[in-house]
Formats: sequence, C-alpha cells, structure tokens
Amino acid sequence: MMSCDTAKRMLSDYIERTLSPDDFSSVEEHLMRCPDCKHIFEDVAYLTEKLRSLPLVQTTEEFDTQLRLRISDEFMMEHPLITKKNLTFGLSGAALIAVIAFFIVTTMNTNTVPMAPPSSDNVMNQTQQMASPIISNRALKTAASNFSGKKDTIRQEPQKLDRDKIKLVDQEKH
Amino acid sequence: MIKIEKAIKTSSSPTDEELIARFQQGDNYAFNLLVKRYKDPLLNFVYRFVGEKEEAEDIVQETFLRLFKNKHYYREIAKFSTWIYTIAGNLAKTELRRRRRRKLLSISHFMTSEKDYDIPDEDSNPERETNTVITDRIIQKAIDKLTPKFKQVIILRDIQGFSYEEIAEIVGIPLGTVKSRVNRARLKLQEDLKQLMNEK
Repeated sequence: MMSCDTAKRMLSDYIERTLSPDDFSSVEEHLMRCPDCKHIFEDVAYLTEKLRSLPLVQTTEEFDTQLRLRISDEFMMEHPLITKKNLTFGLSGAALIAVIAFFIVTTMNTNTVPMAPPSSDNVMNQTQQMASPIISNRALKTAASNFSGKKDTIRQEPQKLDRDKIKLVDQEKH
Repeated sequence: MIKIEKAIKTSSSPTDEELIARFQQGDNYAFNLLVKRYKDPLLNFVYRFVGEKEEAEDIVQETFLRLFKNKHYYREIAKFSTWIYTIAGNLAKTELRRRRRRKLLSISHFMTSEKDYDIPDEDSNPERETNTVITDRIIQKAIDKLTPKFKQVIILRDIQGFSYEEIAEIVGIPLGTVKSRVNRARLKLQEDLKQLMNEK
C-alpha cells in the first residue's frame, strides 16, 4: 500500500490529472483508506480553485502618466543638456570670442587715427589719440593757425597760374 | 486560468516577440503596446507577491523602466513573457528582502531598548477575520506567510496560470524542482488554513 508521504508527493499531479492511470488508481486507493490524506487532498483542490478565482487588480489611471514621467526623468538623467563637457566647451568658445573681439576693437582704433609723430607735445596728446579717433582740440587749433598763416598766391599773383593744370569737373573727358 | 496577455492577443495583433523586435529598432509605439498588454497581469503577479497594491504598482513601473533601458538585452531565444516576468519577480523578491531587513532592524532596536514589548502577530490568527468564509484577504495573508521561493511558484502556477515549463524558465530552476515547490507550497497553504477549511 502507498504511504502518506508518497501520496502527498503526487498531490498536484492527482489534482491536475497528470498521473499515469496506474498511479492515479494507487492514489485513489490510498485516499479511500486514509481519511487524513483525503481531507488534505480535498482542501488543496478547494484552495487551488480559490486561488484561480481571486479578483484581478488593475493599474490606476495615473499609471501610464507616471511611467512616462519616470522614463523621461531617467532619460534626462542619462542625457542631461548641461554636461561638464558641454559647459567647458561653451566657456572656452566664449573666452575665444571675447579675445578676438578685443583684438579687433583695439586694432581698429589704432589704425583709424594715425599716431602723432613724436613731438615736443606732451604725452597726454598721444594717449588721447590712441584711445579715441577724435583729434584733440589742441591739435585742431594748431592745424588751423598754420593754415591761416599761408598767403593766397592765386589772388595775389594771378600771372603765375598755370591754367592748363586747372580743370573743372565738367571739362574733363570721361 | 488567468492569462490576460493571452486573451488580448488575437490572430491579427502582433506577437510579443514582434513588438519587442520593433521596439529594439526604435519603435516606441511597440513599447506602449507591450505596456498595455502586460501592465495588469504583471500587477496581479507582483501584488500577490508583495501584498500591497501601491508597492506593486511601483515595482511594475520599475519593470517597464528596466525594459525601456535594457531592451537590447532581450534575445529571442526566450519568450518575452518569461523575460518580463523574471524581471518583475526579481524586483519583487528584492523588495521582500528589503522589508525583511527593515523588520529585523526594527526588532533589534526594540531589543536594545530593554523594554518588554509585545510584538503583535496579526497573521497568527486569521480566524479573527471571519468565522465561516475563507475570504480573499485571508488567502492573501496565507500567501504572504510563504517564503519567496514557494510564493513565486504558486502565484505563477495557480493565479497566473503559467505552465510548469514556463515557470522553470522564469524562475531559472529545473522543471522537477518547480513541480516539487508547487506541491509543497499548496500543502503549506492547506496547513496554514486547515482550521478555516474545516468550517467551510
């Protein structure tokens, strides 16, 4: 006769009807003679049925939204817009542009206003020309006084005028 | 048998394996379809495993997040369903381990405080719940008391309706071990609930 332990080892196969006909008969025979095992087998069959009919739980309405947020958070963590590499690259570029801009501005200033030749004038005059394209008032006054000292040679000595050298705009052939 | 994912699939709809292949090639719509197909079956599996719905939902979301991040790890040598259930099962087991550690820590805290605490065991007397009917809640409590290795196989077999072969793939143990564990898990549940069963 089959032992209780052997019968219990065959319990699942017996409930699921996967035993061979011979084994099935042996278990049946044991259950007829062993009320304890019969009780256990009946309980397990009942419980198995209960487990299969447990109510289904369903995800909440927010599940999909929360999942999307979680995925996007994860994606942002893995692919951040401001990385150390990006930051270094950006700052280096900005510094380079600033250096180039400074170079261009200073170069333009020095080219626009020619440096005054070294003169007896003071250093103040030179520095002002370097810093600004506007010529100092003092330089303008000097130039004007030099020019006013010149004589009008055409009015005073018209006989010296070489008329061929003077051409009006409308007389020129184009 | 409760296998929602199988019920959803029709002859015209793509298989899980086709969907994951499309997702691996960058089709995010295929990912959405997989989520739609598996979110509730996975929630049922994990909920029965950890016993709390909110925690279960969090684990299922983590499962899909892992799928999203590690889609290229899937190879078609395994069924997609067994792969996704393996991920969810592992996460659920990790959660149970974390809880056990937390419980042990709190117990050791009580011990060191040298006070005479009476730790209530709410699960020890399920008869208090009802005198005549074995409710779903009582069954869930009995499942909670099983160790993770028994819990996992009985949920997959009796609640989710997987075959023994599929369970062997999901859990990563031999077929014979699966059958033996399912058998012992059923006997343990019966042992735990036998007093109530006499009143049924």
